[in-house]
Amino acid sequence: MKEKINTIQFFCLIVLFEIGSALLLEVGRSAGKYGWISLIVAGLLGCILYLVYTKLHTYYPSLPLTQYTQLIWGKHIGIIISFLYALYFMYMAARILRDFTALLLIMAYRNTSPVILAALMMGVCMYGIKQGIQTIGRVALAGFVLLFSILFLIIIFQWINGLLDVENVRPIIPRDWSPILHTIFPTALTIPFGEMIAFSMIFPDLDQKSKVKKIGLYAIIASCLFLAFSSIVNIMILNEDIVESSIFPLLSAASLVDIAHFITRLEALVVITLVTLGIFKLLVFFYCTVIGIADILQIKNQNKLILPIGLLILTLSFAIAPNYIEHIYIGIHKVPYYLHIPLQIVVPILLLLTAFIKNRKKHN
Amino acid sequence: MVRDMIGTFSKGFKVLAIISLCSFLAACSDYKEVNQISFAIGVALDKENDGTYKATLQVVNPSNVTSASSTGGQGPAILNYQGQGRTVGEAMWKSFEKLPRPASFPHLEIVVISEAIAKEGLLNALELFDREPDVRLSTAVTVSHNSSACSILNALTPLNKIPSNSLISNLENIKKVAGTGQSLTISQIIQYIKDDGQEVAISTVALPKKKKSTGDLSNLEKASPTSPEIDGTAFFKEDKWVTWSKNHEIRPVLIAYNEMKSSYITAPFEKHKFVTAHLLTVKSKKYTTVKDGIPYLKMNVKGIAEIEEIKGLYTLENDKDLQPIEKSVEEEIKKEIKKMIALTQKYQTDTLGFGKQLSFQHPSQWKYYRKSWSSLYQKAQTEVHVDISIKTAGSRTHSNQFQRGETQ
Repeated sequence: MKEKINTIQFFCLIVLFEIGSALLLEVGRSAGKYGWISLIVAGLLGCILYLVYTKLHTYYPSLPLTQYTQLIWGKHIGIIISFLYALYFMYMAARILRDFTALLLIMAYRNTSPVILAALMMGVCMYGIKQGIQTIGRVALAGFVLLFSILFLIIIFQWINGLLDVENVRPIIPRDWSPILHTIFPTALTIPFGEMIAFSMIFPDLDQKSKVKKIGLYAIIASCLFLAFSSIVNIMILNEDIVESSIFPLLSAASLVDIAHFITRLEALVVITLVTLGIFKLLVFFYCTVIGIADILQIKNQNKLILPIGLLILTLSFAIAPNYIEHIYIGIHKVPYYLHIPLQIVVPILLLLTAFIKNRKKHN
Repeated sequence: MVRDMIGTFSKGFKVLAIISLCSFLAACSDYKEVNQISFAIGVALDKENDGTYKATLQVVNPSNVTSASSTGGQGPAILNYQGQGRTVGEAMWKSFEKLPRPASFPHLEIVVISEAIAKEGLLNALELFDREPDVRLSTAVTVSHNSSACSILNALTPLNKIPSNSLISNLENIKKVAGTGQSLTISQIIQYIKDDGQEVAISTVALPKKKKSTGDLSNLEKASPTSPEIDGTAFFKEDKWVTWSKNHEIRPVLIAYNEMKSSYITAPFEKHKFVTAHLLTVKSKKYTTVKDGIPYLKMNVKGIAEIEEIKGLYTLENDKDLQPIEKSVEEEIKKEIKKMIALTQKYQTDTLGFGKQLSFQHPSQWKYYRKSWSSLYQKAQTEVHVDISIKTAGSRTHSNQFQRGETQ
């Protein structure tokens, strides 16, 4: 009997996954003060993409993405596509690990070796995956409650402190739509909403399969609203110029909190929260890589793969870019075009079309 | 139970566990004891004649902060270290060489920038502090006037043993009580500078002229020690200092941004009579329109005041008697605002944020006039309405002199 997660855990896992690095990197910031508009629109488009993934899932309810590609497009092409997906998930896991290593390195541990910071996070993830999806789900539920209370508490502190300046988001109706549209596609749509493709590896682990669509859509809308809300708060506090040039706007905004010279320097709290969020995102990508590669190589015991893949991701996270600036540049200017658009949008839609035609033939 | 748990792991995991346990030790590599670091509390930036920067780093001397002399040492509570270099960073780094312990910046309270650097541009000077993650963006920034920035941090202060802290509380206090100064943070200043349609005005600090060994403990042995005071406001265009004016002339800026908490105003009325009023709440609204290429700026101010003092014979019995007083206070505030607008128009710097207001009210016009706004602002027609209502007159009605006049 395979381990299952229930719907509430599934919801929490999706929200934590979506918010993870999007909150850290402030995805909508290239649209200036209209980041929230681009996030909401991208979220709605992300729902459509999610419907594509769930539709594929309804054709093959008990199989993960890497298996039904082989059923849809045949053994040879299918296995190549599956392998590409596994590599993609591994690369994404490495990117997330790099993001959060950089966060810790810049904000807290200047003199500590980044290898150790990354290895500690990776160690937590390896342990989590060894325990299985059920444990991850349970932790997601606990993490959801804890992390969101901290995030809202910080926003309440900022509000009490009188840092929220509504004038910074005015005028609400944009005049120039081109930066907003450019932010929506490809940046905000693919990170984080398109990354939901990873969940098509997890759909078979859900106990109530009929609810995949509903719960997923709720989770995407919830996370998109939270991201938009957080974006508005940051713009109100920092103004669009600082948000655009700041490396971690959320931290800059939190560092301004000063209530009676007593509640100050909340960055430490934000760093802990963000790293925890990042670990959930890392867990999901890591888990997808492990089950994907186990499928392709037909290895029964997935646990054997955890250590080698974990170490591979750890090494990869340092190899993908020489420095953090280049890492961010690749993330914004290269990855969406060469990886996200083909693997999140083009391939799933083509798969769905083929599956649709195949199934109609079967019915006829 | 622990043995059971360990038993469930594979060999690889046991090895991994041992390795990861070792890595916990590495977390200590960044650890510093409190007595091994020195807390930088203030930084002053000066420009030397040869074009280099001089940074003065104020570091707390913890044993001298506590006032109980049994444990405390004899010297001042702070130590100032200086360094010189081509950039702010180089100057700071040179000053680190002189420190006996590594400096730590999370507790930095204030950055004092000299007039010369402010005239050259604030953004260059603030770049280091904005980039450094240890420095809080809520660190206050002030500008020195007529005296070098390092002399401001050098002057020992009486009530608060740490000059940087004293300066900060002075800035906070002047805003809270007198409404004639304000402390802006690094992030606020960068926001003001980068935003179109508004410019920044920063309170300046100066040492009184008769300065004599202010960095000496003997300074504290006087009843009126020479300590830095907030003497006025520097008006900036973009990030460059363009003009300076006296203390209370920042009041219109605070009114325009609805930042005014409390202030005192003295206005003449009737013949040789003066009233001193305490402004309790003052709120304002700005309106900007552009017609035929000429901007029309309108500012409506509403406020509540109470009478603190009336100089001269005056009967204060009913609402009618209050009218001339209210009117004189209104006129005084109006004069102040108009004077400040005229000053900023002269230097083409839109300190009150009328341009920003235009961008809210008429976005399409703003798009058109944005580039030429500062020259347009110079030609603007201004209209100021002030409405002050006096709610109370303290604990008496007539002025003192009047009663005496009647009995005689």
